[in-house]
Amino acid sequence: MVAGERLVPIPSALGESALAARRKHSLSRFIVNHRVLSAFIVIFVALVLVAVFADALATYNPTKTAPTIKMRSPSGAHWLGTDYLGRDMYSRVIKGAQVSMRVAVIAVSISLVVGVVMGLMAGYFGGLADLLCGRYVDAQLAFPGILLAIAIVNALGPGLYHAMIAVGILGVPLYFRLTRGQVLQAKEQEYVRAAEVIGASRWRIMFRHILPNIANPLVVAASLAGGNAILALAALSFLGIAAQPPTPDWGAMINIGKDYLHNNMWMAIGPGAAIFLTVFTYYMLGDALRDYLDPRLKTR
Amino acid sequence: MSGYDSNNYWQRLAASRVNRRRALGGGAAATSLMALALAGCGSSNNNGGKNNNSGSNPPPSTATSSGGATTAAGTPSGSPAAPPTAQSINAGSPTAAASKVKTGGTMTFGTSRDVTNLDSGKSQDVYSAWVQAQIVEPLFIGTNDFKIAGNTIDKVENPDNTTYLFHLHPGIKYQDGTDFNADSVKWNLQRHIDDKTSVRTADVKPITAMESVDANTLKITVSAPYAPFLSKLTGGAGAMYSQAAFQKLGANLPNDLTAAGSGPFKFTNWDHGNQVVLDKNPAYWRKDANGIQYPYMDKFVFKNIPDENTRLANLRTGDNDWIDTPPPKDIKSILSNPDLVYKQVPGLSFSFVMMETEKDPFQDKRVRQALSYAIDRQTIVDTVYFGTQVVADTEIPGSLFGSVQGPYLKQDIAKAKDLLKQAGKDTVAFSAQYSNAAPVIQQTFELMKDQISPAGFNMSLQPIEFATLVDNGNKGAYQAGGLGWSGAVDPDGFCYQLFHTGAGFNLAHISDPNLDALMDKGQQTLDVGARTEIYKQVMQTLIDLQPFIIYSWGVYQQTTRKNVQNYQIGPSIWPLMHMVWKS
Repeated sequence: MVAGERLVPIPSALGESALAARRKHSLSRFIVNHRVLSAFIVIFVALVLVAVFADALATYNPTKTAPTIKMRSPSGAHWLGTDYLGRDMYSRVIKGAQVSMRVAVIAVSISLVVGVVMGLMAGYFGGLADLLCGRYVDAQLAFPGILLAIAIVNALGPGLYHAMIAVGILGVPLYFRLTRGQVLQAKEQEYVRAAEVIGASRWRIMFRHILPNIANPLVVAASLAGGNAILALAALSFLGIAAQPPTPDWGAMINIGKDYLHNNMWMAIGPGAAIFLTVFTYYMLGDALRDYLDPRLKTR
Repeated sequence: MSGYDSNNYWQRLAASRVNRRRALGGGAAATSLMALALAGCGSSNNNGGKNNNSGSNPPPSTATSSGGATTAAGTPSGSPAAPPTAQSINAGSPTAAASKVKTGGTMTFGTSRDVTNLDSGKSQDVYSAWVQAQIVEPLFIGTNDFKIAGNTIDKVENPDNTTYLFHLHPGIKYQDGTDFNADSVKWNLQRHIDDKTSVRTADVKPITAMESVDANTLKITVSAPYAPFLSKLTGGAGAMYSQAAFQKLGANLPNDLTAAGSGPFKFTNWDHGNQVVLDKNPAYWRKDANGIQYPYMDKFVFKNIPDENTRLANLRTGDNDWIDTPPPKDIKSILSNPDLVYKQVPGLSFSFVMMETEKDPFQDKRVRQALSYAIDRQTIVDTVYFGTQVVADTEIPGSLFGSVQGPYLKQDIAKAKDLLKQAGKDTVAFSAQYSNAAPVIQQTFELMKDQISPAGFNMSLQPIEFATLVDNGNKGAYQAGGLGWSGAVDPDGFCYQLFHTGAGFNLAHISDPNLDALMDKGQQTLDVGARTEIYKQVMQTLIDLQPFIIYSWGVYQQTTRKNVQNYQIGPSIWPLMHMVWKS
């Protein structure tokens, strides 16, 4: 893998200390050469850590109501104020990160697995597989994305997991088309021919030979799609059909918060800023990754 | 609320300008109820073969002329003692001095829902009723002091307990030029008797015979004493259509009321999802005390603006003159806005948690009682409704006879735990369904979830569409649910449809022979004193059975621009607006 070649030092006869120095040198060189990418990797890792350790970082129980302190502005005790039932907004936003990140991971995984498998089969086998998968994706793309998601969630019943499935399905065409196009190119390559000649099975060729070689664009697409998934979930929650109360979800929080803009704008600002930061990070990370992984943009 | 005294509270609420604390709260009550209430005018046709008396409750009726000049034709008992005269009802507000009244112009009323159906035999919601009332005005109206008064009826006589003589106001004509007379009233009532798909059929079911004594006198015989009869005619069953116009409109009636009634406004058009436009009926039969022809306005527009914040914004900018149910959280800012006027009066609605009594875990009444004890009603009213609803634990509001106070007003976790223990349970997990369209209901349930948790209840929340919620309620496909109910000017309207075995809105599917017998007796007894005792017993029985957990009584709220004059706000959902004007 190209990325691996850059990051992993070449094994040598150097001693351990020299190897460590080389490694350090490589990391600092990487950071200097890829400032934007490094910065967003750091922010992204921070977001992931926030999501993972949300329970520890929350200062209050995010679903515990406290009516006597409802709709407070930010203060030392409540950094982002409180909502209409007195729940701590900071804790809800932090906990919301967990919900959103989980959605991003699960929804993108669904898209990735389904889309890539379909794309591999369509591209490699061609014929009927290509026709069926292609027509399916064309049909799906005929529906506006968010409307399709709403229809799917309504069919399955409102709920966070159903929303994840819906958002996952929305992403399938992207990975399908990307994978199929890459496979069509890759299967004419010599290393595929060689594998065929030595008798490798079709599945082995697809998953062990072709897939690793077309992974780069998929990684970039997945990163960009994470942001899209969070936005789509926020939209579904805003419409009240994804996360169900009292689950702290950013979209649902904005939905309620918008009604209180005149009374306590912090109820919308906190989750709004969180969505902005997270989606922006995903997009920037995806963009920087593309620059980094795209061989045509190599400057070395 | 310590020292709780429902009657005093209601009187204060009714009389007062809203003080700040109350104002802070209330809108929600109405918001939720107006948006979501099952209008107490149920629907039988939806419930198929059920022995319901759908249609029944007249949507509580109208806000009419100021002054309460209405000598109630009879208390809701149906034994009208001092029949009202039409003039007494319609003489116009004493505050509207002739010299000051400015006629003409357009009044735009921002409503939270669109009209659903213009046929009063089919519609069940207040938004349709508001429009219908202006065109096909009803025979009787419910007054702001919870009495019943004649509208197009001058006088009602009861020669005996099962006979009514309606003396119609003479000289009234429908908008198509035909006469409003005894034959016409007879035809109108007969249509609900004959048309089994009418949601009003149950309202007129006791009628056994009708006879036109003369052009303006109709004699009606009912099968047995039927105390709520006149209250049923304050709403849909009492809405009078010209037979000729009705037949001409035919299948188009649900969408078109052209020249259909005798009301102050004529139907012009209904742009579905957007607005209903009404124009002045220049031949309306009423004039004010100074001889000025009603209605004062040239045009009345009911504009559908579902989002409460948008509705309020439209009022602030002057695009609307009037809105229903302002968001409770904004009442404080409305009160401080010199361009706006906020009014509230006691309503006839209540908010409740219903429980499916035929299924686990709420089969056992002790579990239902435990849940009722576990809820902190005062905190709900203060937090979600900003204090403007009235904390309650029984169905009949304090302003009506038969009202009592139950033991559940104050949260009692120990008692709740004890009851659960008696029922053999330590914890009870259940799901609660409620409409996803009303923020206040959602907030109530979010709060309730926390409140009941220490008692051992684990409630999961399930917001769904309103129509599905009602459907699930009918089918018993739920464990617990949240709804509102708009009652009637008769205590019967707060229990019979909801708790009688097989009744149309018996969503809890409660069946108790003793309760049924009491409610039947309540309908057939005419003496108010005796009925009061009967309905107190009904309430005590319901306190024990707890098929519904009542947590608040509603208030009726409206907000107008400062220049909107002489509008009346009452518990009724059939308000006539002929006397409203803009300065």
